[in-house]
Amino acid sequence: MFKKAIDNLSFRFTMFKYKMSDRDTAGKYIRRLITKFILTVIKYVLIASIAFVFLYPFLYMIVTAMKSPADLSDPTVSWVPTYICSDNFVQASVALSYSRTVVNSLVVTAISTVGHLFAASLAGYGLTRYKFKLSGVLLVVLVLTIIVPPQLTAIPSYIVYAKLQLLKGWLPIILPTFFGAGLKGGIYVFIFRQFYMGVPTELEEAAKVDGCGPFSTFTRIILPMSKAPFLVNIVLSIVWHWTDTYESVLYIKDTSMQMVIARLPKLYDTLVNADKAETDAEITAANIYTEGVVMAATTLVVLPVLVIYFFLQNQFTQGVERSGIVG
Amino acid sequence: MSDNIFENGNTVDSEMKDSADVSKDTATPELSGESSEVSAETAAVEVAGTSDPAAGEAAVAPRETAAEPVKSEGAPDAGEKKADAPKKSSSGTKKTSSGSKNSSGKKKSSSGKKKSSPGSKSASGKPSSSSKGKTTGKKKKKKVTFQRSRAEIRSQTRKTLEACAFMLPWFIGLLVFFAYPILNSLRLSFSQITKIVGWEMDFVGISNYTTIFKDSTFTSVFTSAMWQIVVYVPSIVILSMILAVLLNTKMVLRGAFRSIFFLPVLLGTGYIVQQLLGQQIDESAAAAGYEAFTSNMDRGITLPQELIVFIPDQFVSVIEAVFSEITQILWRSGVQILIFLSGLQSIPTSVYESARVDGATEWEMYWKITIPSLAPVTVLTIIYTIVDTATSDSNSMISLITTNSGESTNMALAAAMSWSYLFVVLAFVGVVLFFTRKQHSTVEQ
Repeated sequence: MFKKAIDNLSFRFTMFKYKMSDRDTAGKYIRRLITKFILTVIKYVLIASIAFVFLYPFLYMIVTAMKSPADLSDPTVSWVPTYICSDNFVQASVALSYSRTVVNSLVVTAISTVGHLFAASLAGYGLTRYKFKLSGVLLVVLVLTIIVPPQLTAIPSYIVYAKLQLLKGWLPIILPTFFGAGLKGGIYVFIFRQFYMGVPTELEEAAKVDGCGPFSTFTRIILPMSKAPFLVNIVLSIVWHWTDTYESVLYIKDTSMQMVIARLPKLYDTLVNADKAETDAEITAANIYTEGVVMAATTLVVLPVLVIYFFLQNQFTQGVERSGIVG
Repeated sequence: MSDNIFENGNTVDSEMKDSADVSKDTATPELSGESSEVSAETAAVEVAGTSDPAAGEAAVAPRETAAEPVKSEGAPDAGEKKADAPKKSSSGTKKTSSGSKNSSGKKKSSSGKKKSSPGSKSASGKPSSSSKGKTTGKKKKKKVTFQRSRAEIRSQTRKTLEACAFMLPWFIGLLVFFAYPILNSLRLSFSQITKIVGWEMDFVGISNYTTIFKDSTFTSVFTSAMWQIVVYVPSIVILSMILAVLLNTKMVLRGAFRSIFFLPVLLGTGYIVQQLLGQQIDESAAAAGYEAFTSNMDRGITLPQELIVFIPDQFVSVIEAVFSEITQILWRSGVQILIFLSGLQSIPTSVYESARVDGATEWEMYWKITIPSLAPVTVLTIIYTIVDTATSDSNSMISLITTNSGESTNMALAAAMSWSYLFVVLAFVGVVLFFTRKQHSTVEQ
């Protein structure tokens, strides 16, 4: 009788999907329900708290960017600013020369991404489809290019560029990408390689029978089906090039050609100096910005990437699953 | 699966050629698979005359690899496999020009290696391996053989040229932008810069290395970086595995959570994150123990003021340090969570269902199904995490190198620092690869 009642009830709680089996007693069933319920609660709490850890800096950044200087020094105002202070954003965009540097960043990022995709797809395809004695060695070399930090090669690379007269403008950043050697360039080759290893050869054989040479096989058959690794690499390349503070600062000395993130460290330094500055006169003399302005600047820097990611995110996660990065 | 596709086109050619070759050599009657192999080997040794170990191996290879066409790529960690691999890739399923890959164009040696094909041919059950079938076609195909073998050689070089064409941009980049700077940096680490303008160097032996190892700043930063790798990498990998498993279950707002968990990658592991989490790299503070970070208490995640009142003073700083470390670990596991998620989704659900039918509990299923399936993914993640931790911009060692290479007098020292650091990181990666040989061979397919 009890069992029947619970059976009827379990139809209502379909989201639990825990129907009573024949071997279950009523007590066991209820115990199982409660255990599952507690575990689900724990799961949600855990995930929510970790998501909070990830979101906290974002929220802090956005909220602080909206605080006026009065709010910043007011200890009672912590999470809700009294009004949205747009002056922070104005000052930030002036300090960053936003309109110019954003365009610079966009151009550099776009061209670098194209370069990476071009070189990495060719190299990844070559690595998988052609077996010769050196292909194992080349794989090791590829992994080495990933492991070696750019700081190791940076100064000698600078010398190479100087000798080749390539130090003009954005060229030191853009040119290596077309040769598979740019910022974290080996990873793109690796991703393409993993993907192409999972592609069966029948299609290419059919194309060869139909008379395709190798290169047109590549362009007509392989490239259209490689949407997944392309997407993954595009997102990764955009993110890494946009937020790169090393190469962009190293090679570009001309302030008119700087990328948007290059100015950010200086802004943060002024903030540190503000803690050390004693009088108001020192503050205004050194052109020190408030924390609100610095956070507004950070928001402005990160915003385009966030927008792009927001639009591409669904396809990006699907792309990671389909690109077979994971064996 | 990853055979050389342009070799497969030659299947028909070499089959005819094989029979022709065998028919030419009358000394060895073809009986069954095994004896033909033995005879193939001896014939190869006689006919080829070249001391080519590949010929003997080619005779043996088809037998082993008839069942394993997949493992066709030479694993980078086994040098001896490199010679086997080109043969295994083709002779496994398509018994084609395995020998011709290494042939130097001599007709005799190529025909000697072709002897191995009868072994594999009989393994795949082709009827033409019987001697009687061959002797009849003997006279007609003799001349055809000669032309075909030249065509083989031409196609072989053409294939190599195609391969080179595909990889050419990457080769150039490798040489110009990677190999040359690396060797230059190595040379720099052993010398001293005399003239800054012309980048002239003076070879001074290992004095740079001895200098940096005597410097206390460097050694403290070095040990802290090592400590960081040892502590962070396992935590990141384990934590991201747990999180990925959690994220893989059915829950409300699953897509939103997945996007949130990828946010750290968007912000970059470098400068912005560092500032937002309130950490500053301070080299002088690094000298004081292995804690290479000083946390700015105004930013970053701290305990709420109300709680702090209740906790005694010593605990507060410890707890806050632990919190900041946990935040750092979480923040660096964005990509790893994504990798584990995709790995998890490649496990077919039918395995789980059959296990459930067999009466396994969730816990058992986790240990017996999920974790073993994730083994190659875990290796990949460990390597990526080591590399990421070691080379991210917020690493104390990296910032030390950067500041030093900025000053022109210290550039050689910076090069020496980077090389010793690189050596240690490579040692870590090598150790991981060594202990996971069984798993990572699937990754390196």
